[in-house]
Amino acid sequence: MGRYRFFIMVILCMLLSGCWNRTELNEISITSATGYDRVDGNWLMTLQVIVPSAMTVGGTGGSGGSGSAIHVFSTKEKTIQQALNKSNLENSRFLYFAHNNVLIIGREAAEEGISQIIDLYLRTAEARESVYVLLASGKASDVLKDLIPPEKLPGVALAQILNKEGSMSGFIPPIKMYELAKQISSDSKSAGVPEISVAGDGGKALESLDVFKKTSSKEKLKLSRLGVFKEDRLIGWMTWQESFGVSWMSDKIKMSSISFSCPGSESTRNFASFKIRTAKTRVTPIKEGNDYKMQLKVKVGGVLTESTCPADPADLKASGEMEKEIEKQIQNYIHLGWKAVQRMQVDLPGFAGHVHRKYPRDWNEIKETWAEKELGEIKLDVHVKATIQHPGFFSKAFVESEGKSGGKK
Amino acid sequence: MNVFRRFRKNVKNIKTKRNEKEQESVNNDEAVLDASLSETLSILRTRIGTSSDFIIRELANAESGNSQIAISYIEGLIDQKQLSELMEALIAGNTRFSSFSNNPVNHLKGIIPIGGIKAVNTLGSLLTAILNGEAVVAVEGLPGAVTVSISGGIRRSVEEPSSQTVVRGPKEGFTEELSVNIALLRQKLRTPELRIESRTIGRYTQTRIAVIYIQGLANPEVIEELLSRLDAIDTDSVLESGYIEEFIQDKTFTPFPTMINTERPDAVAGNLLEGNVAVIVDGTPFVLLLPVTFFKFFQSSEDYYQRYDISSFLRIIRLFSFFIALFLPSIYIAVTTFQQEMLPTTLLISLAAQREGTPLPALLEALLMEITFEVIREAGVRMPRVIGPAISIVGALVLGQAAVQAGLVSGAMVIVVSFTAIASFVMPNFNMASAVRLVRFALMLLAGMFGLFGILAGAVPILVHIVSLSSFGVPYFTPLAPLRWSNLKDTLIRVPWRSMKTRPAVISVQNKVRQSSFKQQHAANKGPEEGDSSI
Repeated sequence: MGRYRFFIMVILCMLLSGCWNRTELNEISITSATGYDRVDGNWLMTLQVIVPSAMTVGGTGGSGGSGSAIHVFSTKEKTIQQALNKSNLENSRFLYFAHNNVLIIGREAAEEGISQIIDLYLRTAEARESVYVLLASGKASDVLKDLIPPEKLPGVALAQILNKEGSMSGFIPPIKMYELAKQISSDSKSAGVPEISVAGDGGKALESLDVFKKTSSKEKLKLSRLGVFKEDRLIGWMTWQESFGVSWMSDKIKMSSISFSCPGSESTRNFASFKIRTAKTRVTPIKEGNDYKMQLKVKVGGVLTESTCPADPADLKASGEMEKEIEKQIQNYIHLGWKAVQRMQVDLPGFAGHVHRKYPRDWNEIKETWAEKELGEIKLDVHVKATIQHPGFFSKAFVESEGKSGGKK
Repeated sequence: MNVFRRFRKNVKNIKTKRNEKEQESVNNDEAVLDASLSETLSILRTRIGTSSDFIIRELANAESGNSQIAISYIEGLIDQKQLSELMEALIAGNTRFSSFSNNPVNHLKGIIPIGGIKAVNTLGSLLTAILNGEAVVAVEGLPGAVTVSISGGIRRSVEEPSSQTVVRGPKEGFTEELSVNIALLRQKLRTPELRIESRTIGRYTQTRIAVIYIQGLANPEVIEELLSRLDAIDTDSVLESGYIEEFIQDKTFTPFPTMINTERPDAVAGNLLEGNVAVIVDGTPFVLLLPVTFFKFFQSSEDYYQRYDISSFLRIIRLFSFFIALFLPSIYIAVTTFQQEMLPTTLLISLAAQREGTPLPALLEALLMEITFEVIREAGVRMPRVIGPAISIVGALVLGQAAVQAGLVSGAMVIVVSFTAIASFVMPNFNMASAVRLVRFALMLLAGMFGLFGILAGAVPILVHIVSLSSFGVPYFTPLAPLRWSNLKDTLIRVPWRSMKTRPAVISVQNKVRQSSFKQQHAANKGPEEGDSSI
């Protein structure tokens, strides 16, 4: 008897709650990218939302296919949340951020400081910290309006570019929101964020769907430089070569490729390429008196993908010489990156953490002046060990074997 | 609650009254018949009434002209050919009756060329015999009568089972006739240990029920419990094994079946060999098997005829489709209305694109489509065969393309509903599929209210419920809970026959060893042979 009553009560309780936070898929607008700019002391928030009906394949979705797959709108207010709230004045649907792919920060906003954005992302439940962060060379709102052929959704395309670039080449390593927050608050207090910019004559061609009708466009969105943050402010830029060097120092390379001139060859024609399959950098700080020496041990393995060198890579001696060239090349990148780091007085490779872990007592004394003083006095001791694991499916360079095939053997 | 109590009381009163009434007529039936032929016949006439199919054929003595012998039977229940043989014999022997009247039963036994002959002396047994399709031969001067088993009448021949088909395996199925069904089993299990216990249940239907098991394999406690439950049934009719199933199951308020019904003699034979007990009910080809566990519903008799790897794969497929049939619509509802962040971006966008412009919320849409499907399915079962194609065309159009094109339903929902529907028919046992269909609606409502949390809040009690069930004392969720390692070899997967050395431990309590090691036996057989050839 009590059981029946209990059951009925439970069922009634369920009905009482109803479906309070239910949102149908056609009531939400999925944002694919967001942008933050500073304009006259206000936050300009730009949202790139997906228009699902334009994404349908075939005719079943009604008016599908021809329209733009995204819609971009901006709102301006004192705080970000206020700006978001104000978007209700013009937007018909609930804004939905869980599938946000990239967050673009305008240059001005980055120079003023981004702690407010980071705080918002860490504090709210809807925003995901796994979103990629990008810097705009100008205003973020302009970048969000641009299309990236052949992708229909530029936000998704940007995330894919970053993801692929990070794992395949590592020139300008991508960074996610949580990594950015972590690095800024770490001992090194710095982070690098890739910059996206419009290459070409700076027109508005990418804002129109006409770009899909052309086979090639002069203007295109691409990753150009690495923006360097010291604490939450943008303080400078690095070229991709410098950034690549820093990536080597901070063990961010997964796969990449290195081109080098042939050992012993004077000709500028003779080059070879090495595709890196495994890369590992080990950093060991060594204290020498009052100075620190950073010992970097880089281990690289990979395959030869391209060669016009006269030497036969299947020959151990020749391949050893090639490996030397590769090691030299990587050392060059590292020193290039190191110069930029010392120039900007920013501990982008994160050496501070290594020193803190190995010499925790000393760290307390030097942490205040680390970036300004100690960093500049650090000596690098770079050891690179490259291994050509496989010469490819061809031994000698094509030209070489053609010419001598009759003579030898 | 008072209403319930009063209702129960009333039911009890009715029951006791009925029993009293019954008692009187039973007393009447127990009356011993006397030697007068005319009196016996008149009692029979009053008891059965003037039904036109009840026939009494009297044979007069050639000398006196009085009725000496009477044969009574019900026309549709007997075999005409055997009847004429019986008549021939009786007519031929008629003249000699007066001289042998001191022991007419022996005399009848001597002249009737039919096996099943029995002397009865009460009205009740006489009536039972007649209603079971036997002919009653009454002789003047003989107290009671002699029943001759010539039952026949219309019966269906053994055909391929329509509800449980296999690709490989015997194609014969049970029929409505109890004796044929038992014979089908006897043909498969030629062992003296095959035992049959009979009961007759149903005051009006007098349905014969046979409990079949293999002595030494089946658990005696289960048999005892089953028989005591069968004896406790007091009902006016048993028209199908479903009646019995509902009476004897351990728990009534559950959607999950605790007995398997099958049309296949090979499935019954296989289960009897594992120590199960079968209940055959006269008048239906569906035989009950008990005790069963949850995983039995995912096993087909074909699993044992095909290669073990394929069988194992198919069992996993069945379990997978069980989950699909149970959860897919509710997961779809939950994910599209509450937990959109669970989906990959591209999938979310394509789902969102399809939902663009659909008028109903996802929950209502799903309920509507599921109910539409249930209607079409039910129509497919009930409608006359001739209209079949028309219905399927309309159904496919209504459920599918037209609904999507009209923008009433999203395309993804049609896919979800049809996949669910197809998945629910993968289970070899239709009972379990029905249970799943029922539970699915509850889960959909929960998902519509609370999202994935709601599904969990539904799934956990369902699991608890399943684990709490038992079938004739055997835990329903064995061998997983309680865990029996040895039984796992024939649960989710089926190991090769060579490795199945023991019977399922839970069901077959005694005599667990099924076979000896094939390899050892083979080696042992080979040894002496080689020796022979060398000589």
